[in-house]
Amino acid sequence: MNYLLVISLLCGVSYSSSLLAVSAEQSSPVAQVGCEESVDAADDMNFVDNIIECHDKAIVIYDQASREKFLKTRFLSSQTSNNQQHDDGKSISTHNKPVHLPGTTFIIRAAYEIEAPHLALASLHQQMAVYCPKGWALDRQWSRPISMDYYLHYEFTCTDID
Amino acid sequence: MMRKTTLATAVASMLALPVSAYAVGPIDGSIYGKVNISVVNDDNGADEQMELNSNASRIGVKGKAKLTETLYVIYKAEYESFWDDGEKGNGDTFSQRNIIGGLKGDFGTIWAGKHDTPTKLAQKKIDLFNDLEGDIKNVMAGETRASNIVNYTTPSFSGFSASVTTIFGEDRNDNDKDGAFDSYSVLAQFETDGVYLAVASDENVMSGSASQGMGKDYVNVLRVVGQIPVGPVTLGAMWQNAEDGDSAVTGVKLDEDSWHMSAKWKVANDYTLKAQYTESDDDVSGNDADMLSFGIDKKLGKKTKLFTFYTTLDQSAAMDDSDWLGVGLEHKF
Repeated sequence: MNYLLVISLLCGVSYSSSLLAVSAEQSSPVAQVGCEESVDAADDMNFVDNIIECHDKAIVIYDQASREKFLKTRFLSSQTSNNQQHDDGKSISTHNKPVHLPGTTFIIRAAYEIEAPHLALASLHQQMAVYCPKGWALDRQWSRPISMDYYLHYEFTCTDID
Repeated sequence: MMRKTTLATAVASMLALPVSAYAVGPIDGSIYGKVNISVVNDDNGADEQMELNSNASRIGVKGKAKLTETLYVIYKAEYESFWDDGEKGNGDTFSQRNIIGGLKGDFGTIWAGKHDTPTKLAQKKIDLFNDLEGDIKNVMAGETRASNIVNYTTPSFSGFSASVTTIFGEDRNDNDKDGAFDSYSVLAQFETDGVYLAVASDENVMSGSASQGMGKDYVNVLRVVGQIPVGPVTLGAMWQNAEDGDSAVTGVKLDEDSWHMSAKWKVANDYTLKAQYTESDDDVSGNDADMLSFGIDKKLGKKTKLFTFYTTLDQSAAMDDSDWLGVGLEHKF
């Protein structure tokens, strides 16, 4: 009985997959993952997606999914802030201002040539100023080769000090 | 004592891994887990007692490392810890839960180790009293964590995915336990916008059906699961048939039909109301069981909740009904 079931299951999913494969390949190589608590995700058959896609600590700015998730959250924070100000009778727009989130950790990167690593620093510091406008602490840094050049990575955390 | 020390050292070493991994940069890992403790009045019909229960509190490490642009190595090692009396019945400080290592790429995911079967995980989150006295494992078969398993899961295509898992019996003296697919578990599932559908099957997998008075033995399981959100309410349902498998001990017969329904309602002020009903009937023995649970959760923080519950279990194989009334705290980290 179960051999037939297995074959039916696989055929059904394979057929559905073949119908959807084109659109899936065009959009993203990975599934859209809801980053629930790790302990909950561990009891899901697709727990590997949580391991790959969800970072408990740092927001990886150069990773599209991680960046978009963060920007969406930050946008909601700005909206809430705006609404409260409107209720008070003031209409100061904070939507486009950088938001400082104390304790939030980011990972950014910038490309450089091995002869001129200082060229990456300007870009990295500009990015840090955007994500932590009130200051930051550099947690670690590392480099990774990309064809002829390198990526310099910075992991940093927005300071708690006003 | 020696065994405990050795295990503790091994676990401590594993927990230290992500810390050292962070130091070298591109490797990624993290610790996770939860503590879930409850005070319960346990009434078995003849007598009652107060209990402190640990409810599968656990600690785990998980992580990945990027090998190429499209290939990752992944790992997960999870241990149950016993917050009530400090050790499992056999004296172990930690008890192994899901532990795997594997690879994920464009081809899908392959992992191996000791893990819940796809059929067990097909239940998703429809068991609202999982790890408590109202856990569906007390009424139906198929809630299996298997050793020596190798799993392949397809990539997800717009919510569709499938998994095939083989379980090695590692018994060269038994022709039903020494092959590549003598025992296996398969799952096809679809999920989008909170709607979830799954069909799963175990073939000749070591499991058990507590409500039928049957110990652990080899069974075949067919399971169908669905879940749908309706506004603030989430509804879940499951149907299952379990039969004795090829390797079941001679004389062990089972033909158990089970079904389960649950409802979760998020109300105001971070309160959630929960209710579920589970029933099973074995056509061979004539035994049946039904279990009813109610509960209220109060969220105290993003990762913390207080909960209270009442569960009643009626088994024809037992003389009296069992009832549990409890209150507990859960914190995830």
